[in-house]
Amino acid sequence: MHLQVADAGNGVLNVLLIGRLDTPGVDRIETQLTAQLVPRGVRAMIDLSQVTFMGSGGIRMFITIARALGRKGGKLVLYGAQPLVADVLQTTSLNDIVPVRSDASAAAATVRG
Amino acid sequence: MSIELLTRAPIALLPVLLFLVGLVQLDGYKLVRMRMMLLLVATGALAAGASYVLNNLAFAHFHGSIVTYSRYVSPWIEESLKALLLVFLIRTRRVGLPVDAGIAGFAIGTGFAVVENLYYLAARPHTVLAVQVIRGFGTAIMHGGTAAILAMISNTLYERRPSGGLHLLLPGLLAAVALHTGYNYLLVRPALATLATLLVLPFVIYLVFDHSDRILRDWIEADLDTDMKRLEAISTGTFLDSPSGRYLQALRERFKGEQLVDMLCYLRVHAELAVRAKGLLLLRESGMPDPPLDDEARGRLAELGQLERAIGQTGLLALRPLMMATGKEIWQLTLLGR
Repeated sequence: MHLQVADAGNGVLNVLLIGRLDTPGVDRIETQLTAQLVPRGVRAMIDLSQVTFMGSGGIRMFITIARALGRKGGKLVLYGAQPLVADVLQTTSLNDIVPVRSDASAAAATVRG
Repeated sequence: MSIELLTRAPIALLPVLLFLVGLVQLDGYKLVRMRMMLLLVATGALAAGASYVLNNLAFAHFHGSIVTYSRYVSPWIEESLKALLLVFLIRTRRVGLPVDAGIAGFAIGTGFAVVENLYYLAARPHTVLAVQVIRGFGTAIMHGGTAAILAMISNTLYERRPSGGLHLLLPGLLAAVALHTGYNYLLVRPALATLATLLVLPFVIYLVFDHSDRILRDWIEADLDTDMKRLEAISTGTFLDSPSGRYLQALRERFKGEQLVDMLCYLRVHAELAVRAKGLLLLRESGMPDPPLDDEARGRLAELGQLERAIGQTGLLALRPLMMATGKEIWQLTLLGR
C-alpha cells in the first residue's frame, strides 16, 4: 500500500491510494496521510480507484481523518471507488459522514463547494 | 409524603443516578439506548416491589432473627428477582457484551435501590440524615453493582456457549448473592459497608468495562475484515476455491443443490449485515449518530430470515464452522433491529 499526493489547485490536495486498505496497508500509510492532511486542515479528495480492498482499519482511518479535518475547517471527499470498495463504503454507512463521489470532477466540485 | 422525605430523597438517590450516568459515559459504543435504560430502571423498581412481597411472605415462615434472614435469605430473593430480566436480555441477545450487560444490570439495580431507599426513608423518618445518606448510597451501589456483576459474568459464559442452559446463570448469581451477603454483614456499621462497596465495586466494574472495550474493538477489527474478505471472495467468484468454499462443496453429499445455493446466499447476506452492524459500531465509537435503517437493510434482514427457513436447522448447524456462531455474532444483528 502506498500513496501519492498532488496539488489539485485552489488549495485542494488530491491523494491517490494504491493497494489494499487492510490492517497492514493502513499501518503503512496512516501516519503519513494524517500528517499530510490534518495539521493544515486542508480540503482533500482521495482517489480510491486503485484500492482493491477496504477493511476495518481503512474505515476507521477515514472516519478519524474526516472528523479531525472537520474540526479544523478542512474537508475530505472520497471518489472513484471500485464496485467492491464502493459497496463497503455504502454498507458501513461511511458515505453518510464522508462524501463519496463517482469521479474526480464530482469530487472536486464537492470539496470546493 | 412529608416535606422532610421529599428533601431527603434526592440526597440519598442522586449519587447512584450519577454513578449510572458515569457508566453510560464509559460506554463508548453507546450500546444501551436511553429508552432501554429507563425501561430497565423501571423493571428494577418493579423487582423491588415484588421483593417486598416475597420477603414478607418468606420471613413469616422463617424461624430466626431479621439479621440472619437479611444475611442468608433475602439476598437470594432479591438477586434472583433482579436476574429475571437479565436472563431474558442475555438469552435473547439483546445485550451481547460485558459492557452493555453491566450497564443493563446496574440500571436494574438502580431501579431496585431507588424503591428500597424510598421505602427506608419513609419507614424510618427519624434516622439521622447522614446515616440515611450513607446507607442509601451504599445500598444503591451494592444493588447496582451486584446486578452488574451477575450480568457481566452470565454474559461472558453465554458468549462462550450461546445455546447453553440456565445453569450458566448460576456462577453470576452466586457471586451477586455472596457480595450482597457480605454487604449485609457489614450493615451494622453503614459507613464501613458503604466504604467497602465504594472501594470494591466501582473498581471491578471499571476493569471489566475497560477489558470489554478492548475486546469489542479487537473483535470489530478482526471480524469486519473477515466479513469483507468473504464478501470480496463471493463477489469475485473465488470463494469456492477458499477453505470455506471447499467446506461448502464438501456438503454436497448431504444437501441438495438448491440448499447449497441458499447456503452460499446466506453467507453473503449474513456477511453484508455483519459489516453493516460493525460499521454502525464504528460510527458510534466516533460519536456519530446512527444512520437510519434503509429499505435495503430491512430487505436483507427479511432475506436472511427466509434463507434460514429454507436451509433449515440441520443446514444452519452444518454452516456453523463457517459462521463463528459466538454470542457476539448473533447479537450484532440485533443492532439492526433483528
